Amino acid sequence: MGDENTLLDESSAGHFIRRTGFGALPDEVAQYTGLTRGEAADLRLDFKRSRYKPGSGKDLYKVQDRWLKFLLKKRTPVLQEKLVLFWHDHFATNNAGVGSSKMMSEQNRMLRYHCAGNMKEFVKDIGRDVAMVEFLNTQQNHKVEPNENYSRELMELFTLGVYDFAGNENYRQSDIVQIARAFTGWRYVPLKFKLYFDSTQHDFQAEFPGRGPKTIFTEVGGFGPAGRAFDDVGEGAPEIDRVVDILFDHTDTDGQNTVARRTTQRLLECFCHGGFADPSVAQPVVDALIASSGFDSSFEIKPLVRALLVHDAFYETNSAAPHGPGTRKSVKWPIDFVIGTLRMLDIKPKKNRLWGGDLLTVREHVARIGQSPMEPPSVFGWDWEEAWITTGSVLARCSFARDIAMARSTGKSTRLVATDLIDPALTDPGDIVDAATDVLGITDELETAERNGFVTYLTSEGPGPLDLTDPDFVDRKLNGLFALLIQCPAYQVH
Amino acid sequence: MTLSRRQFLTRTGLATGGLMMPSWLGNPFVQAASAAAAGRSVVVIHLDGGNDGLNTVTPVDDGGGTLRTDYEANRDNLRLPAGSLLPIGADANTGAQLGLNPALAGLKAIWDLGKCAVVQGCGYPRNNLSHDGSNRVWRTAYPVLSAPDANGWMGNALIDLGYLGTDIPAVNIGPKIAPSFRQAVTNVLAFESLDDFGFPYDLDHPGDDAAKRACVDLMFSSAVATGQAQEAFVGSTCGSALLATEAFVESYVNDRGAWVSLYDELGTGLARDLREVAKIMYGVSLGVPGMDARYFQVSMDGYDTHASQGAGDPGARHYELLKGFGEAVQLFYDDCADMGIIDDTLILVWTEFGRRVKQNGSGTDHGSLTPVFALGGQVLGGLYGNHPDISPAGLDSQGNMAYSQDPLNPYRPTDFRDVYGTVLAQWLGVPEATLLANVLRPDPIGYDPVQYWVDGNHDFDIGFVPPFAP
Repeated sequence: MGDENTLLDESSAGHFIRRTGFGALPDEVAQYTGLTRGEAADLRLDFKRSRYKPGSGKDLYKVQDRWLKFLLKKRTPVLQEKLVLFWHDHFATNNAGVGSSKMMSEQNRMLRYHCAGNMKEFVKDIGRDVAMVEFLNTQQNHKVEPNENYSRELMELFTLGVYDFAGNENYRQSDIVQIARAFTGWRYVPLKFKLYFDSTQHDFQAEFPGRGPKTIFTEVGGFGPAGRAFDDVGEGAPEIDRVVDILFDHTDTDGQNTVARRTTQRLLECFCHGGFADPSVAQPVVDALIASSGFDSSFEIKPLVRALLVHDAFYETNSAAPHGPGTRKSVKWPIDFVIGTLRMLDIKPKKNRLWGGDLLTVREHVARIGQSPMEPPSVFGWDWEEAWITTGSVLARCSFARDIAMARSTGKSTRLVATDLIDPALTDPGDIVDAATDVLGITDELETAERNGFVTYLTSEGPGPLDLTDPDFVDRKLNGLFALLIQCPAYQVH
Repeated sequence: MTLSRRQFLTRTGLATGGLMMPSWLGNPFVQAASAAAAGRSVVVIHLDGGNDGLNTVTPVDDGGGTLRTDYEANRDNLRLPAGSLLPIGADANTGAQLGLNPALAGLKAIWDLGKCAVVQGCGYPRNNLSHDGSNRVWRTAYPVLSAPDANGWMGNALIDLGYLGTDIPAVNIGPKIAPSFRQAVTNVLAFESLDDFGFPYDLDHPGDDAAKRACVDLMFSSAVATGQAQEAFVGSTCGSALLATEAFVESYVNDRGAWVSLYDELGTGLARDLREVAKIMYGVSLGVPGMDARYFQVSMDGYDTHASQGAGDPGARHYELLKGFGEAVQLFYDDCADMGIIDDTLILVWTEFGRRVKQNGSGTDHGSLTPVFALGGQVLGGLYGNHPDISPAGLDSQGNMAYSQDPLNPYRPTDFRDVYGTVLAQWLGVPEATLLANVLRPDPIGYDPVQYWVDGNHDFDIGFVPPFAP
């Protein structure tokens, strides 16, 4: 049991760095070892609001390349980017549906701006984001036949979820129909990407008396104050913000704030492990984090993330082998796997390309492994944890590892130079394996049998002492060892 | 708190053979000795997003009812002109002539062979208008809202067909395992293309491959043996992948290059995915050792036409979707016929819901009842079920086609579980009692399969395939 005053040892510091960024470098681990959990969280969260966007968006590939390159930069606040990825998944919008990489890039800037800010403001701005306006058809939402697409996902995915922790419905179809009315008339000018409110296309009560008053949550109880009007601040443009205010007042059957609970649960699933998908597992931790951060009244994201980073739940998956069936791990997101590996191996892909094997770009690798940025499969975002792992995606992860080992005919900074990462004076096969697993941060994760398997591989041409000053041996076997370690199941989880 | 390994496996698509043994220690693709199925295949195609059934199978006239009149009243600029529709005969209930969307020339060609069954008006009680919610219903065949990780209907069927942890009976072409195939007993492969389906060794040092293979074999099986659930899952999947890559042969590519070109010329995602299915089916038909996958899933997205849906003109969004679908399916059908396996193949096409009867702006919102298509060499082509009632009286409070199994309802819909039941019982020979117990369970909010057997016989039999005879 620990709290914000618990000191980070080297293992916990490595875990903290990996889970709040992409891979862990030795100097980062050294920097965080000896800090308290609270100090580590404050340091990691000490980034300023950023207005960075990944390029002007001439084409999608350029936007994706720019963002992935930004993730590899040493000065990039990595926790900020992890949060941007989290929100990108939460408010999932894809280029295929938006049809404009410029709008995707602008949205990425907006996600970054709000990623650690105020969630209520965030949700209000998402409703005005032109990529979202296009993606979920607010652009076509007209008073004559209000379009339900955005209003449904606003409740189902962005704020409330379909069911509360007790399994009761959070809203009804009639609420979707009513909220669709609030979003009628919002338009953007194509190519100018400018949003405006066209009151002639807005649903005013006087024109449609048959639709009843602009009120939601009239049908079922348990929503806090039932029957909330969203035109009480004036009909027209103010309605969309009013709707969001009301959604953020929504409570579960037991009186706890619904948006706070669901958001906290999603953060726990993302930063800790998939076991928190089960409400009965999540509820005690969720409620504790909300209580200690005040998220249910402030909706400030940063204090919530800080509360999470000092809680025991965050450290739960940091466990050494031998692992028992009760041990929890989390499958690395494909972008985490690729970017983290490149950072730890100090590889800077030239023109974003890995110059070995299939000669793919970083963008192509993350796409093959199952997470192409700006291209989540649908408004539901990506499926996490074991869903990342399929026959095809594990082969793509293995190919990425192989391509790293095969990038040999390029400049020094763009390829794997294994003898820069471990001491070339080492001769004992076991020591070499340990040094390599230290680089990737998985020494404690490996079972004895696995370590022995890597030693057997390294000595397949003859027993030690081995000679790491022999460039042919290094090229063949030490690079081979790194490929195998990156392919190792223990490296796919954290 | 953590999930047990059993729960974990249930959450995920690919499973291992229980706690004892990594699934892939056996030979991949080896089929269990199953009395059922008789070497038959099922290819499931999901039209993702909710296909507009009303603009897919469309009334041409009123017959003895008001279908065309009602259709025209609800569809304005999305209306398909009666003369443009590809005629497929009359709805039994109303007598109205029906036609396929003019984009569906490919499907019509299979219809003309007598090998296309159109099961009209499929749905379920208390229709769910969320993509996720309705998909879950169709995938689990259990409308009382199942857990997100519940077994899929095809997953449960794979168990009932007797497949074990040593088998790989199913392949999904796509980035992930389809929830319809989810279960925790046997293996489902998921990948996008067989082209890079080989284990990636260092091409510059082939002499080192054997040492690498020994090492990956050890680390994959060790990961399974550790018992740590997520790592074990990764290890198991990696192991299946390793052995599956070694079992696959390039026979299709070598023997059937002309067909590969035809798929590539179509250039659509669905054509590409069906090409991959055809490759595997060809390997299976040749009796390639270790290959016996029989159940496939592909998906085609884009059907969530809230806006810019268009009508029956080339270039229109829905038209192009259906055109791509029809062309790919026709080519796949012809390919299977050429390979001599079409009589052992059943293609089942579903979507999570139809769309709202009344159009909304330039598109349509989420709806309810929708047709299902069954295609194959043994399929008894024709129209099954009733066209939904789209008159004002036939719609529910949200303007969607109502679901009512009242025996007096002349527009009585078909419960989608009777379609699944027909496939599983009549095509694959799964005993009805097993289906009722494990796959198509009655549920407390309104689905009672026995009640729906209109003819009084105790069977799942809509009639689009002949009774099972191995």
